[in-house]
Parts: sequence; structure tokens; C-alpha cells
Amino acid sequence: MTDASPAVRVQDLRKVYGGKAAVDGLSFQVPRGCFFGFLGPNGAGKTTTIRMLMGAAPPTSGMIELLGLPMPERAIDIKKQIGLVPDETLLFDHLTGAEYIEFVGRMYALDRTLAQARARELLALFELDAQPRKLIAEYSKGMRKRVAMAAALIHRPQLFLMDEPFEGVDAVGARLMKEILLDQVKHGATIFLTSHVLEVVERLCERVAIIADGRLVLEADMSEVRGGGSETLEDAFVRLVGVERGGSSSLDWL
Amino acid sequence: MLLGHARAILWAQARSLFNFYARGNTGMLVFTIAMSALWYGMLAFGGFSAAMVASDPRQLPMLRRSGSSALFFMFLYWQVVPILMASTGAGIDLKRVAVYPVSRRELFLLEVLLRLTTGVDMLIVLIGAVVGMALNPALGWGRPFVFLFWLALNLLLATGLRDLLGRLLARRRGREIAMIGLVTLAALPQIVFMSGVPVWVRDLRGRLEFAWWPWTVTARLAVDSFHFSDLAALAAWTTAAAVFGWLQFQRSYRFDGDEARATPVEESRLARWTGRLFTLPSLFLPDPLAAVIEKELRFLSRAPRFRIVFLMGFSFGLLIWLPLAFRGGRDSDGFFARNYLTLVSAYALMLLGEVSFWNVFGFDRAAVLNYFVLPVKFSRVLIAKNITAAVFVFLEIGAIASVCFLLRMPITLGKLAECYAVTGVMTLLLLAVGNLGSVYYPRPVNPGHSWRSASAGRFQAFLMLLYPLVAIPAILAYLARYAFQTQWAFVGVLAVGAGIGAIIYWIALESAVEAADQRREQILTALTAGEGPVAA
Repeated sequence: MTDASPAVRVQDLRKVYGGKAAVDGLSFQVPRGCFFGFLGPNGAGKTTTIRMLMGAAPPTSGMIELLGLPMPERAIDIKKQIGLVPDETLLFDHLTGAEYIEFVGRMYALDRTLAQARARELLALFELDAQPRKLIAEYSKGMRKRVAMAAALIHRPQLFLMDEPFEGVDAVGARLMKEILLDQVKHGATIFLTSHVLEVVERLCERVAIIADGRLVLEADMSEVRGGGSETLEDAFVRLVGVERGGSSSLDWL
Repeated sequence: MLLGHARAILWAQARSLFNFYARGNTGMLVFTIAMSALWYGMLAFGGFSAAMVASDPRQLPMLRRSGSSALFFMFLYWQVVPILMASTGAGIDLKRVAVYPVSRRELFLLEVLLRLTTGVDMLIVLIGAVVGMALNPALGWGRPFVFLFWLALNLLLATGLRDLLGRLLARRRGREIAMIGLVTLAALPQIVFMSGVPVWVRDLRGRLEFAWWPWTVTARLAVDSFHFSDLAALAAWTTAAAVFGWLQFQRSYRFDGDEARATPVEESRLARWTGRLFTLPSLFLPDPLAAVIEKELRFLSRAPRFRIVFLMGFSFGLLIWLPLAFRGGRDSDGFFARNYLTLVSAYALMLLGEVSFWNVFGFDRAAVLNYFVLPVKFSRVLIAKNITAAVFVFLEIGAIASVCFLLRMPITLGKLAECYAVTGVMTLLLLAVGNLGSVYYPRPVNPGHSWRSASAGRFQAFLMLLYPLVAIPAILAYLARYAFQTQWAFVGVLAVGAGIGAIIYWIALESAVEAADQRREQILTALTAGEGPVAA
């Protein structure tokens, strides 16, 4: 492993479900210390890709290298250095926020006392400490994202893999999360996130990749995407993956 | 920090269970404790009896004679019963845990330990026997240590089988056929018992009388003279089970269930045909009743958990009752032989119970909010779900009757009508209890899972209490026919039972609707919650 190697390198990645390729020959790189946005319309293959990067789903074919190490051959070494904000299904609903963060800390081999102490601090940082006995099942969507983010930070990872981290988070919470993430990048961490909130991606990310139907349609620096200010990320996104719609006039009853 | 992760996983699971029960419905907690106490109390009595027998030096000849058979039975129960009950016991939710840096070796060890959950019934009896042997002055305290090998062998083999079957049943194609094959295989001894032992099986049995089976060597080591060759054989069996378990676990770790379960891009001809069948309720019933029934029919017929249970009703259900009914061969004329169809159908109701009666919103967790916000009366929703359950019950009976007919069993139209009448009354009562249970104790169930992960013990204890109650009208009807020697007595008593059942159903429905209105938040919360790191 060398620091010169990209944080994420994906080559000809493919994942097939029921005869249909959800991810179809994807290749891209994310430099270290980069805030990287991974975008695409619904069903484009973003979550499938991030699940493969997390090691939660094996690819049908192709190569994944994270922090210079091959996945899955060096999976344990890679996972030790990754912070995950997974989709909601990976949270444990019957744990409190503190218990969940402590559990994640212990999975990253932190001493139990240290994990408990950090869990308390992270809960306070993410303003989730007002009701310490509340179960994750009782959390709102935004609170679930915040607790997942707090857990992702507990072992100070080098690479963050985040699936829609801002989904359902209020403006105050989103601001806090953005500040924390920018601080992590400042300290050398790499962030790979998927999001539908293009304004947030535009403001935070230095580089983006856009996929549609499992294929890469753009990988570029944000400045290139904006075309020197001639268009926004949303314009570029719609231009690349959008479909011309006939408008609501085709539905007479609407 | 060996097993540090395992400790963290078990801690998280224990916290999840504690939080769930501590904040849940007190009635549910009491019910769970009562059912567990009943079931495990019975097993503890079995363990105590085993201890008494094993500790008595005078019983040594009997132990030497029957030790091997007892261990063989234990082996079968440990490995086969989970398959028959479609229940795999608690296991690590690999999908959720594999994203963390936990070694496969550690997860495997934890998985092996969790196999105790499927063998806990036998373990209680085994502990009794081991304690008894340790106290037996004719055996000495060291003999029971051989059971550590026996325990390891069973746990490792169960781990491998669970992984193998888990992957097999996660695949779309062939899942149901595989399940029928498995239960048929498991019930094969019953058929052989009924039809007499064929010559080739007798020959096979002769060959299977092998001195080195794991149960044979374990029994010899435990109660007979000690030989190193027996110990070496047991160690070899245990090593083979470990290799099998480890290889299967490795494959499961790499296995992607979502990929295996993915819906094919093209719709099959059968799917198009059944799709048209599902619209039939609209011909007879008005919306929204018909719409909910149609949705239920589509949803359940696509849910692997439901399909497996439905198929088991007319495959395994038929086989398991054969020896009892046809002990004297095909021409048996006992009560069970004459009422074989009804017996199997009543048993199928038991299998269908969990997916059709007790927890009607469990599968529906994603849709349940709709029932509270859409402009539909909640009673309509329950009635629609009940009609769907009744349709599947009647289809199940039809399937059982068809199989009986194909196997040339003595089935007449009168018996078929009688079967429908008896199961109809039982269904009515089960639906009444089920509607109340569904709103008071809703539990999220994953319809995509072919097997239940929880242990079957508590559920069996619950059924042991409930089934005799719902069968009372049918039992009284049979008694009336026996006492008065006329079919009219049977019909009359059953008709009265149906009338009372209808009244009970109606009262239970109104109570369930009222309870659902008051408990909507608890229902929604209970149904939207996920599990811990161990799927229990």
C-alpha cells in the first residue's frame, strides 16, 4: 500500500441481478483526500456500487481496490480503515443510539471503555443525547442518518463510504455534518458519497462521477462539470441522464 | 482479541432483545415466558428422567443395548427437525455484520455456537444423561467427556447443513422443489414403516449396521469398555464435520442472496397465467375488498416463506401422518385411516397458521401504514385478509385431496365434503384468534426468507394449547356420530359449532378493529423495527 495509490479504484465492475446488469462495466478512480460525489438517477446502480465497495455484496466481475489494497483479498485490512454510512437496513433498530455507536466501535476493535466514551461524545456532537434511552427504531429518518454518521467516525477512518448521508436530515443537522466531513477531508480523509441533493454535492465535492443504467456517463472535476460557470451541476446532470418529458398535458385527467 | 467481535455481537443482540421485551407489550412478554416455561419444563423433565436412568448402575446393560439408538435419535432430531419445522434457529446476519472488519474464522465460531439454538431441546436431555453418567459409580466421572466430541460434531454438522440449505433455499429456481425433496427425504422412514420394509432397504440396513458410526462409537465410549480406536473414529467424524461446516460457511459468506433472489427480467408464462387468476375476486366482490384480496393473493403467492409452508402442507403433512393412519397397510380401517384427509388438512392448518392467521400484518410491514391512512374500513382489511387465508386453506385441502387421489388412497366425495366442513369451522375459530393476535402482538416477518429463524419450541407449545380448543366443535361432532351412529348427528353438531364459531369470529373481529384503532402507533412501531446482528 502506498499513499500515492488512489483511495478508490474500480475497474470493469459488474453486478448482475436476475439477468440484468445493475452495474455494467464501471471504471473510475477517487484520489486520496478527495471529496467525491457519486451521482445518478434512481435505479442507476449507486447503492449497488457502494455496497460492493463496502464488501456487503460481491461483484459479478471486475476489480475493486481501496486505499491501495485489493478487495476482497485484503478485506479485513481495508475495512479497518473505512467508515460507513450505510443504507438504513444495516442499522440495528432495537439498540439505543449510544449502544449502536458503541457496538460499531467494538467491531473496529476499540476497547469497550473507549468505545463508550467516544459514543457519548459523538452523540453529544450530533445532538442526539437529549433522549439517551430512545431506540433507533423510534428515530426519525434524519436522526438515523446522524447516528450512522456518528458511528462511522468512531475509529477515525481514512475513507468514508456514504450512501445518501443527507437524506432526511434537517438544515441544521446537514450543516453540522458538512462541517465535520470537510474537517475530515482537511485532515487527509477521503469521502465517497452518493446523494440526490445536487446543491450539497456541488458545494462540497471536488470531483464527481455520474452513472446511468449502471454505466459511467461522466467523471470529472466539479469545475469541468460547471463548464466555467456556464451551467450548474443540476443542468449537467439533467443533460446527461435526463429524459425529455412531454409534460402533464398527456394526462388529461391530471 | 480472539472472539472480541463475537462478544460485541452477542452483547448487541442481548441489548436488542432486552430493549425489545422491556418496552414491548407486557402481555406478549408474559405469553412468551409462559410458553417457554411449558415447553422447556417438559424437556427439563425429560433431562431429569435421563439423569435418573443414567445414574443407576442396574441400568447399565440397558444403556449399552440402547445407547447407540438413543444417540442416533438425538442426531436425527438435531439435524433433521430444523428442516422439518422450516426453522433454522438464530444465526448471524452476515449481510449486516460482514461490512465490519471481522475475520471469517471468528464469525464461523460464533455461528457454530449459535447452532445450540436449534439443538437446545436435545441439549437439555443430553445434559441430564451426562450428569446421570457422571454420578453412576459403575461408569466413573471421566466418561461424560466423550460427549464434548459428540456436541462439537453435531454443532459443526448443523452449521454446515444450515449454510448449505440456506443457500439452496435462497435461490429462486428450484427452491420449492428442493424443500419438498428435503421433507420427503426426512419423512422417508415413515413411508417405509407404513408399507413394510422392502428387501433392498433390509439389505441396506444390514450394510448400515456399521460399527463406526459416530453414534455407535460415542455410545461405546460412554457406557462400554474404552478403546482408542473408538476415540480416533469419533475424532475423525468430528474433524470431517468441522471441514464440512467451515467450507459451507465460507461459501455462504461469499454468497449474495439478493442476486440469487432477483426477479428475472422477463415474466414467465405461468406468472402471466396466475396473474389473471388473481383478478378473479373482482368478479364477485366490490372494491376495496376485492382490491385488498387481490393484493394479498399476489403478495402471498410470491412470498417464499408462504410458498414453502403451503407446499409443506400437502407434501410433508401427508407423509408424516401415514404411519399413524395406515399402520396395517393400505386397507386399514381405523379412525385415522377413515379420516386421513381431514387429519392431514387439520395439520396443514397448523403449518399455515403462522403465515395466514397469527400475524396477518407481519409480512405486510411495508404496507400496513396504508391500512390506517387510506379511506378503507379496518374491518374490511381484516375480512379481506381472512378471505385470502380461507382461499389458501381451501386450495391446500384441494391439493391434499388431489395427492391422495393420485396415490389411490380411499377418498370419497363425502369425505372431501366432511373435510372441508371440519377445517372450515376450525379456520373460522383460528381466524378469530388470529385477528386478535395480529393486532395485539404484531411481529415483523421477512416474507423473503424461506425459513423461520426463531426456534420452533415456543410456537409449538402455543399450538399445543390452542389447537385442542379450536378442534372442540369437530371433536364433539365426531363423538356425536360415534354415540348416535348417524351422520346427521355429526352434521348437526358441526353446524352448531359453525354458528358459535361465526359469533366468536364476529365478536373477535369487532374487538380487533377497536384494538387496532387504539394501538395503531404500537402496531406501526412494532412492524417497522428491524432485528439485531443475530437474526433470532
